[in-house]
Amino acid sequence: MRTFQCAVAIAFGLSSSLLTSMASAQDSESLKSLRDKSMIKIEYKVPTDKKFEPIYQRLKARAVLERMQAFLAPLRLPQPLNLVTAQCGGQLELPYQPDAPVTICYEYVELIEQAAPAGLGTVGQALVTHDIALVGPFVQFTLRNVARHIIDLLELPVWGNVEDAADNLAAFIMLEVSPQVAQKTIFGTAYFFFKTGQSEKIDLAAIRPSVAQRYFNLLCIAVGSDLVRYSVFLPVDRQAGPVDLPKNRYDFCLQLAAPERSEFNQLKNAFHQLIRDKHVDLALLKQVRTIEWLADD
Amino acid sequence: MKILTNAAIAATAISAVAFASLAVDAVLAQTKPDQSIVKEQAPELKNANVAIRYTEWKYQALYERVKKRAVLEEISEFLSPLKLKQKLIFETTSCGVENAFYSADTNTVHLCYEILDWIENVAAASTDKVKQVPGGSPRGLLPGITRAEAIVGAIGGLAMHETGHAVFDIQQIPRLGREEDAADMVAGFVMLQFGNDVARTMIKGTFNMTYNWHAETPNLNAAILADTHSLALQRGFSILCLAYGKDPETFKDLAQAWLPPARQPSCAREYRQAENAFRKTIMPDVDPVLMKKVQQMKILRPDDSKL
Repeated sequence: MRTFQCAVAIAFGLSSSLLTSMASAQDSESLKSLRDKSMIKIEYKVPTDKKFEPIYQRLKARAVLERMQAFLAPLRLPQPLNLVTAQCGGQLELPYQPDAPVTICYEYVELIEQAAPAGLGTVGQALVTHDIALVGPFVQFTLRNVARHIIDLLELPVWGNVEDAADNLAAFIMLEVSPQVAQKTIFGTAYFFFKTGQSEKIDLAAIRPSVAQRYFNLLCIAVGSDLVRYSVFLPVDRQAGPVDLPKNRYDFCLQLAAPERSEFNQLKNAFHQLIRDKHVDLALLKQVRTIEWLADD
Repeated sequence: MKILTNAAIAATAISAVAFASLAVDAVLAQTKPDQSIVKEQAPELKNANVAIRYTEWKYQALYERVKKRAVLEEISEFLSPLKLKQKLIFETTSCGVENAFYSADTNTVHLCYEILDWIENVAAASTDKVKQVPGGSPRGLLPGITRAEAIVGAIGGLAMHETGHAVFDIQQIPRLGREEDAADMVAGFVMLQFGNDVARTMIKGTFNMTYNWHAETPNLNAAILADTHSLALQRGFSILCLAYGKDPETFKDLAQAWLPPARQPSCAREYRQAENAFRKTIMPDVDPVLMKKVQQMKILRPDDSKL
């Protein structure tokens, strides 16, 4: 079942091969069942700027929000959470407000499209397709902003930067859904972060870390999750390049002598303690896991 | 030298005070500390799960001063309200590098003489007396911060930061944010739980320390951006923001001097975040009666204020 990737990819006007990746009838039923139980409420807001009309139409036509609504159905929240797509007045994203909807700005989607390679691209030694470069950052952006709201909705205890916490939760979910989803979303997000981080002017006073820092944080969690799959980012027995996770960090990411202390495993422990064990419907989670999200194109 | 003695002691004392909120219940303190290294403490503020040791090596003068001032004993007292699940060891030692760190393998917080020496001779020294780093901002005391504040606040901040790591590890506290930022947040939150004088000293000294780290690293490269720690000034701004978020009036002057206006609106929320995390993850293991006692301890001594 091609569900989410298909939806996102098609939303971005991707290849016809992706168009064939529609969900099976069985998965469609599962999706509908999940959506009915989801506490995520969705809306596509009409852009006032005509240049965003195609993005709006594609997202809507491909039911991107509906699929995210189904994917997040296992979350048990004290109140519904609104997830919308909208034009954001030229901003890539809206400043966080606890009571505001989770907003996916058309401007950010446009940036993702602009950053994606026309054909094949690379981030270090990793190959990234056009599709992956679109899907990865879109999923990451959506999940991290949902996570940011959930932190407040559930009054989760967060030690450390809450923006990192949101990124961490998004990365963890991306890595835990399935190896396929993980690889596509991690590589796609890494490509996007690395590319957009190149031109970034770092604001040391901003609560959100720089894109470059977020890039390395993402890689750190990824290699801790699956060393072999993400080993392309480790400069072992070769000269380190700008995309590589430097040794001073990856030693901490891997914690080979005590893997339970790796950043990924610490995050996994926190996720289980604070979210999974208290705020997730495990039966619905099982149902979500039966769906092949972001199936191969 | 005396300056560092008093200041360091006071700083550590302050850090300990901060950790009043983290203390230990004697009932749960089942592991008897090694009497060969543990000093006598006031009975009511004793944490049987905290052990201390002063290691002597090449920093003989620092060793003597720190030991005489009973810095580690005060840390232990300040940790008395926290019901630690395992023994925690504090030691001052020579590490070969300017550092302070927590070893999870041995449950030990290491306060290195080298970092104490760096604080005394770089971060808390006049800029005209410090060798500057080419291309970097001036190292040394920031305007508006006294040498005593720089020493006391920095050492206290370091001790609290490392204690934060220890508490996370020993108490198995979940962290959704990054470990180093989390330890910074614990340190920042705790240093604000005492009187205004203590809090301002700690915040100023800690910010001055982070500014000096920033001044030493003018070029951001991949290793720095990828580091487990946030960038030095990011850390300084976050600590300042916590303080301003808790009490805008008390910290208004510091915020105006150093915290960029764009960050200020989110500070109250950041402080509430730390407060919520503390209440839910650490406070359940704190003895409130002992905590009150620790909070009432006199942290800044007259001699320290004259430094």
